[in-house]
Amino acid sequence: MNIILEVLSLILVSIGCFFMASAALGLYRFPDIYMRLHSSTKVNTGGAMTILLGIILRSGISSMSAKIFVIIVIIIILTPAVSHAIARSAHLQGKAPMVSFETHPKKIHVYDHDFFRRR
Amino acid sequence: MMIFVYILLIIAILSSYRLFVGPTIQDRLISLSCVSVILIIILVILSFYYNNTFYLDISIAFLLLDFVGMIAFTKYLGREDKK
Repeated sequence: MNIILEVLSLILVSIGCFFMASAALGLYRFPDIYMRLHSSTKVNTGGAMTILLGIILRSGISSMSAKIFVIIVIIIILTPAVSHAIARSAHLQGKAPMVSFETHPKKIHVYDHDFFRRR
Repeated sequence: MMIFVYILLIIAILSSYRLFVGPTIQDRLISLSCVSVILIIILVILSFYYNNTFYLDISIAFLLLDFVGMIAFTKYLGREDKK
């Protein structure tokens, strides 16, 4: 029973590390503020939850696992709030989002500067 | 369990790339938020490894401080073009 829990927690922590690495890759590759926000912040929250659940499985029922559960709840509430605040500040500063025009002859990504005028 | 600490440190260094070359200030904020979440998780893993609950209190305080600082910074930035 103990070995099963250890293997399960190792698998969960490895999946969380993979999520973190993909968040870093998305932060490196995407071309725009909003795309970077979309790729990195959600995946980062999911990876953090997965790694902390793995450590809770390993440490059993104790005061340590209760504190880790508090950290999970705080991360679930606060990290999307920070993401929303960053997107709101970028929108209020007038940063234009980047769109891909399918009808463009070169099919390139360009900044959509008319985005705020059309609304 | 110690190998995950090294893996997460490498990921934190790779994810702080946007902190230095980000074109706008919001990119730097996103990268800072990612790095702080990764450092909190490293603190939790160290707390399990050394069997010491002292690191968990530090990580909770660090998480709340990061939230307050980020909200203040985005409030300051978003006030610019509002009229």
